[in-house]
Amino acid sequence: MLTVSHFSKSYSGGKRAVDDLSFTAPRGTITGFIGHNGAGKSTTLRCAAGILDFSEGEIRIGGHDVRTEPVAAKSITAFLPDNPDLYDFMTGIQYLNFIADIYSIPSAERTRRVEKYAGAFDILSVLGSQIGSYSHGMKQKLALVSALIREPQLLMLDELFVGLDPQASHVMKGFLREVCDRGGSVLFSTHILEVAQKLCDRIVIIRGGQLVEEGFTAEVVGNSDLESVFLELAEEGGGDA
Amino acid sequence: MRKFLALTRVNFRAMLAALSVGRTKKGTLSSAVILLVFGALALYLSGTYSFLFGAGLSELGLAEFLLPLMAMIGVLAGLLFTFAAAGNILYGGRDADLILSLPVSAFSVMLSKMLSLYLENLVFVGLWLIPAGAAHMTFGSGVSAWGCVRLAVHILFSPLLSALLGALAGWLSALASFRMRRKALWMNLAYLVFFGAIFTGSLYINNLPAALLENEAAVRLALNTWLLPFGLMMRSGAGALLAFIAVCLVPFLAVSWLLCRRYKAILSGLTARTLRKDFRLTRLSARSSFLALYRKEAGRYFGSPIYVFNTLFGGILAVGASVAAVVMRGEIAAMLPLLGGLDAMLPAGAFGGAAVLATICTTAVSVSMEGKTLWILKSSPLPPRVLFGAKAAFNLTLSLPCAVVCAGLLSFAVGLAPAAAVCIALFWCSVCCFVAVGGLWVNLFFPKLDCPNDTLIVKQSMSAFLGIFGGMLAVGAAYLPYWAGIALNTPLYCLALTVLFGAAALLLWLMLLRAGSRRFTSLI
Repeated sequence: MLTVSHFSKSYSGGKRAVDDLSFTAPRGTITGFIGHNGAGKSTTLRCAAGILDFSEGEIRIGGHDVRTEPVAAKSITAFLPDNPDLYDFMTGIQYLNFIADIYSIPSAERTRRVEKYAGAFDILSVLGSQIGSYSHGMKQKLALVSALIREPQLLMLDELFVGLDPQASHVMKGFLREVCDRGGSVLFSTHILEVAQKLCDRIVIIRGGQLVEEGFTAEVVGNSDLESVFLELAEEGGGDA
Repeated sequence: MRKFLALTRVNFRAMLAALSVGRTKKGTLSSAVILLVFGALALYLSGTYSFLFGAGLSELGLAEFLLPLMAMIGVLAGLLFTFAAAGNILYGGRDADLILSLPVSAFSVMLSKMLSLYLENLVFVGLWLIPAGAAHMTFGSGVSAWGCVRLAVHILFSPLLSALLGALAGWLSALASFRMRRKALWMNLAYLVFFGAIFTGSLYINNLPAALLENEAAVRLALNTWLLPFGLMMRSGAGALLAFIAVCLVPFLAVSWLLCRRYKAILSGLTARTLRKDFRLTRLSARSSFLALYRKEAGRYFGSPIYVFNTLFGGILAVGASVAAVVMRGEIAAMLPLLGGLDAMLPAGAFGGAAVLATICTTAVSVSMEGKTLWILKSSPLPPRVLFGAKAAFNLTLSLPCAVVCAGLLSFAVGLAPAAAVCIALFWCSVCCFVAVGGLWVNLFFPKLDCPNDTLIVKQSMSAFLGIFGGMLAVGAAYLPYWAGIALNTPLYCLALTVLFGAAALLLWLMLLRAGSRRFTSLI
């Protein structure tokens, strides 16, 4: 579903955030994207989502190159940054309707999806209030609902579980599996290694913008646990992973 | 004291940073250009009116009123610039939680923010008073060392008054923010009333010397009572100067102290959340992505009074003047022959109107206004024609009706032939199109995506500045043949300019779809 090939990204000033990174997030799988702060996870996700431009390498979503066919690639993708700022001047339902308009979701279908996802996250009753009046957690839930109502083929989430209460985290895990069951793919970055190990079918670990490890979770972890593997890899890299 | 100075320095740096575009040389240069142009504007306007009023008042034997009169206008003009910004400077910073958690008194926090307001006013009001002082010396007091000292003191302390009034306006605005429902609507109405007062005042500004002569006793009484700071400017003694410093400084400190007592309460009110939990989901209606974006633009625009205030000023002014022209049709008909007839005045009207309409430029800040929500548009499957089209279309929704209504009303008021009226209307519409598309380019090159509040974007960013003055400059360039004394058939020339501005708008639009789109993608 997502193919990243020899992707590199440098910021102005010459800082190389990602260097020759290649990995895939196949259909029907949940892929955990792991690395220390500053490893290049957010940069990679933002480039794949079309938020940042890049000049080296190739990123394809559903076969569409995000640089040359951005509209086609974005049409089948939903991305949420780690701290999603939403339109505070809109009400929750106006925002969801706005997103549904952008993604051309038919009227009856969008109503059904909003009811399903907003109901599951228990924010249906507050959708008439302005987003500016929402708490951080509620904004997070609204952002997740806005991503899920698109029923995307690729769902990319940066630091998914930050700010979510245990109930919402549980609900979200179910929906991630639902995306995969529909033939889609999920790629999310996280620092919570226990969750990644339990939830993810595949793991991609990066350090200093470069790929360190990629594969099925069971293969990567082996008889150990993800935290030990991650720390071991960090030590191999001189502690700067 | 050290803590207070550190706070003041932080606030002052935040204000300067808001003016610049990034931390580059280009950013520093843009700040300097903005300050330079605002300074030049203050000097030019004050110079023109100071010497005009100075000559008039001198003839009437009332030259002593010049400095207080100009100081009053300067303070009101300063208030006009500070009016909307004050609420955000005092209560809108993202650093409120951080600052309040520091071991500093609320008075120090408030005073440091008030000083930021003062410094902002000092640029405009201070420069405004320099030509006023020069005219006062020319027509009244004469040049002396003591006169220069007094002027310096007046320049330094008068801005405290406009900062004080701005702070009170900001306090009222903040109070309204959490006490009122439909705050944006009320604020927009308040701005409209404010506009109306300024417009009415500007219509009568030339009659000030005559009005002063008629009401001299009442004016003197006011200057000795509720307008005492300005009255003290007329007195030359050292005691009067010290009293002037006191009546400017004491209220400033007193208001700072009073506002600091409610500072935490207002901040708490502003951050308090009131959620309604009674939403019932019904069938949602679907629209095109263009219409969705257009509605979003409208919601963002009308939800931000300062955005409306800054970009619709020209439109309200133009429509107000057109309505006034229709009402004063008889007077205009009598005055026109004295001014050389309709043909002689037509270029000034056509190009003056175009310049005013060119200030309706929402697009020049519309990308900056996305701020931290820009990721939503950048990650959405939107072709550039839809993304930019919605922003430009919203701009045109505001400017085109103003152009058409003004052209119709003004043509009726001055008795212009229908064909000539159509030519001018088309010219104005083409300028509106040029400005709407050009504004997007300006904003793509000078984005300001990290501002803590709307005021900094729409009042103090480089793109806002270029949005307002860039269009006027283009219209001014088209007026050059008249300045050069070349005789032109104005309606025909307007028709030619329609083609020129229309072609320029089209070219900019086509470039926007490719190069502009790339530029948008590269924004961080």
